[in-house]
Amino acid sequence: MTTLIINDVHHDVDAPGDMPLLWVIRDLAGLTGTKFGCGAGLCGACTVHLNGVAVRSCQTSLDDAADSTVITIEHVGTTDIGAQVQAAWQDIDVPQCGYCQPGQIMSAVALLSNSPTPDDAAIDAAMAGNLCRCGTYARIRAAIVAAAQA
Amino acid sequence: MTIVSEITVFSRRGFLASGAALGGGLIVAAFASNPSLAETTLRDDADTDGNGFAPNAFIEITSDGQVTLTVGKSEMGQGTQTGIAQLIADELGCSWGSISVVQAKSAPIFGFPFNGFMITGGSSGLRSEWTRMRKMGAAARMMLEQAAANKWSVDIKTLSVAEGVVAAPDGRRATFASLVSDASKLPVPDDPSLKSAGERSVIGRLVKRLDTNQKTTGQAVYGIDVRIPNMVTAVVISAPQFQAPVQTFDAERALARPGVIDVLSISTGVAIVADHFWAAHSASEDVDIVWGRGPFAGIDMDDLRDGYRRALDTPGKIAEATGDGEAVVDGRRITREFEQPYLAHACMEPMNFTVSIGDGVAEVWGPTQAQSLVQSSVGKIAGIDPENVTVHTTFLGGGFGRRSAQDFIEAATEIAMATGRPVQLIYSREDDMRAGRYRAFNLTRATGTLDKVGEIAALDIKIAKPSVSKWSRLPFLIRDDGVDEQAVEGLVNLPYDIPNTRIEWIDHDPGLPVHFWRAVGASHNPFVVESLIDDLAHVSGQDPLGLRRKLLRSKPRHLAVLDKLADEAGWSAPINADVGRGVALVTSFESIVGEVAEVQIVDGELHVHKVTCVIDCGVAVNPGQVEAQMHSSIVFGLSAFLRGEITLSDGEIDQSNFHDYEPLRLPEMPQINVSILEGAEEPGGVGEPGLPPLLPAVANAVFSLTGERVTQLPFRP
Repeated sequence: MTTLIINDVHHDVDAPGDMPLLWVIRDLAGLTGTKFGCGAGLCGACTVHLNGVAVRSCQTSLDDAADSTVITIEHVGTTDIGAQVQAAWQDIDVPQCGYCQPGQIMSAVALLSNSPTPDDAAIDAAMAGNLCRCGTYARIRAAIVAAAQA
Repeated sequence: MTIVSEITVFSRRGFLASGAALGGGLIVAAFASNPSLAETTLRDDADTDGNGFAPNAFIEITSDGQVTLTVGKSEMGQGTQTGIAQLIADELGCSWGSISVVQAKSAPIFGFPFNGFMITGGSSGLRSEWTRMRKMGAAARMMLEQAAANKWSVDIKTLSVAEGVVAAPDGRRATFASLVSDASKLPVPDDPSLKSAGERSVIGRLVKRLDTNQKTTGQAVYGIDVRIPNMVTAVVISAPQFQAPVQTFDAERALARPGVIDVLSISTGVAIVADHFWAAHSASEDVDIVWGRGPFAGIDMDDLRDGYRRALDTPGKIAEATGDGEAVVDGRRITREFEQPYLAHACMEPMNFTVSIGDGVAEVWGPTQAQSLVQSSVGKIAGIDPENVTVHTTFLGGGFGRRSAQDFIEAATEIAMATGRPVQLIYSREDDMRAGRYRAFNLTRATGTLDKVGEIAALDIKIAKPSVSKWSRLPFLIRDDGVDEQAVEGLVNLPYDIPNTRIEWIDHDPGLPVHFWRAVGASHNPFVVESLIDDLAHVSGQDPLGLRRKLLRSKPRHLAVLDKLADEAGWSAPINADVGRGVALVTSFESIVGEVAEVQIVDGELHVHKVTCVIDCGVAVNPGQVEAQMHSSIVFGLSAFLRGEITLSDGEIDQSNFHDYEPLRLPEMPQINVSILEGAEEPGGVGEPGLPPLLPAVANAVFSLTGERVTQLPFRP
């Protein structure tokens, strides 16, 4: 039995220790906002916050997440920065298909938590791991800049 | 009527008429004569309180004034559901904030107005619904107005409507909410008149997408998020060698793993059924499979290339012949061969579908662009009448054509049949990348001839490519003369004033499954045409943009796009010697798009740092989404130009995930400037037309920088 806190809710998970956190979140905790894209840490669709740090949940095992605090897209709006980022995303109308956007938002919130006014290079570095096949990158950058100024 | 017979009665002529005009007589006639338009709403979350007003299948106004629109088109990012809502809202006169959109279940009323076929593709959403949806909105508004007119004993003509309120000249006002009960008792008008362009208030306005809040909070439901009671999850292990058959397998170890329910053979491999994805996926390593020899065993890319080269020397079908290209013998000629690769769609949401088979009926859920095809394919495997297959469409995590293919739906149906429980099949990224259904590899030989004074006298273009329409199960897209329209899209009917053209298609099919891929034939053919025009400009000493202006002198809309493009891109201004600049102009899906790309080569790597884009799509229903789709297509095209390539080695697909099939990433984004020319014409498509000019614009920029013509994609410096 592994214990972790997901979105302020205590979970006792009975699953193999090598089960990726992504599938624990989606299939055992029932939170489907976090997305499966590649299973290899290449696309960022599964990004969540583990103890405040953005991680690829498909590359994070349940063992790695034991006794940790996990925040997903469903709950990130309860933080000030999370709410600002979501508001900026909505104001700039960023998503197209939207599938990658939970991961994009989680990466952006982590960036702004560490670096409240990131320059272009910092945005590049923080967001390079999040693919968007619809090509919403220009609006993603604009939304990060807007959220930083909010 | 089954779907199969619908396909056969769906004549090519009918498709073209609708594809060309998508409005006018056909749709008006369909509207007036189709009694099912007064059907009540058919949506997934029907919760009408019984006091509402549902004048047709698309609109419901509840007694609290909330407007629910039921839309048949699949939302894959292109914004079609918001656009369709704008068409209705503009005529209905409700407040934008009162609207919500729900996805329709599969039913012919939600298919194309002219044939009931339910499919989303070909950048046709707003084009096909332009007249019908506005008429739906107008009919509902007239009934609400009539209800008010009756109540106040005034002439309906004196009333006005805005923001969900009917107003009389004497100041009396009534909300839609207060009128729905009376309105619902009135007859539905047959042929309501529509607003003039000047009266429109929601069409042409930059409203926000209706799905943005869901998509930024984790609430949007995609196929992979569907949860059905008693559902199990499945994965399929496919052969490393493409389409190699299963000979034997031993699942003893896999079946001993926790959560694994069953391991079974299906037509495309071995399926593992488990409590959830990870249990199924991680059990793959514990299934021992002996594979047979696949149809591509021993075949490499060079073998495929040789086949294409040989095909190009055989006679094909003439798709277009104007003037007499053969007669122009004494001019200067340029001949080049262009090779363009297989491409994967690589949607962010891997292919998946959820299937539940009942007694003579089936319910299926998931991301599809082709509900009518889903009904046929599930019905065929399950032995159920397609009409009894109900398709619930979720949001699509990308589509780009891929999600009108049926491979993942058929596999899910086979597994559901075998297990007797609702099954959600999920492809891994590797499965998704290696499942075929690619943009077809194509080889094209193109000759341009200049006359004695250096004007373009003839284009002679011959392409070898398989029939995508055949593979995609839409054979009505093959012309009566046997030419697949998708093979020559972007080669025939060019807007240029060139007196002699000869376009020939060789149906060369190596057997690797191919499919629609964003812009289809126009994803590769304009690369050839616009590269060749650039070549001809160069050898005749003409400015590439100026030459295009000359060839388009009788086409005012094209000229306006070119002139705006020259202006926005600063075409006449000098640029640094280390920067290349190229232009291309393509008409596709009834929209005209010109693009100018600026490139540099730094440390041997190509950098595209700026793209200027001008589009004339007629009425731009939502300028914000037109801009978004231009960005999207430019990024999609750039990913293909720089890195996109699916290859085969000894019958195995070489690529597997985003490390070796890597779409453009955020730091690589060029600066993109989009200008939308205001047009009065009926809307053209916007989901695809931004892509075709991107590849040749970049290639022409490379040429202007290096003098080297790009004839093979992806680009290799």
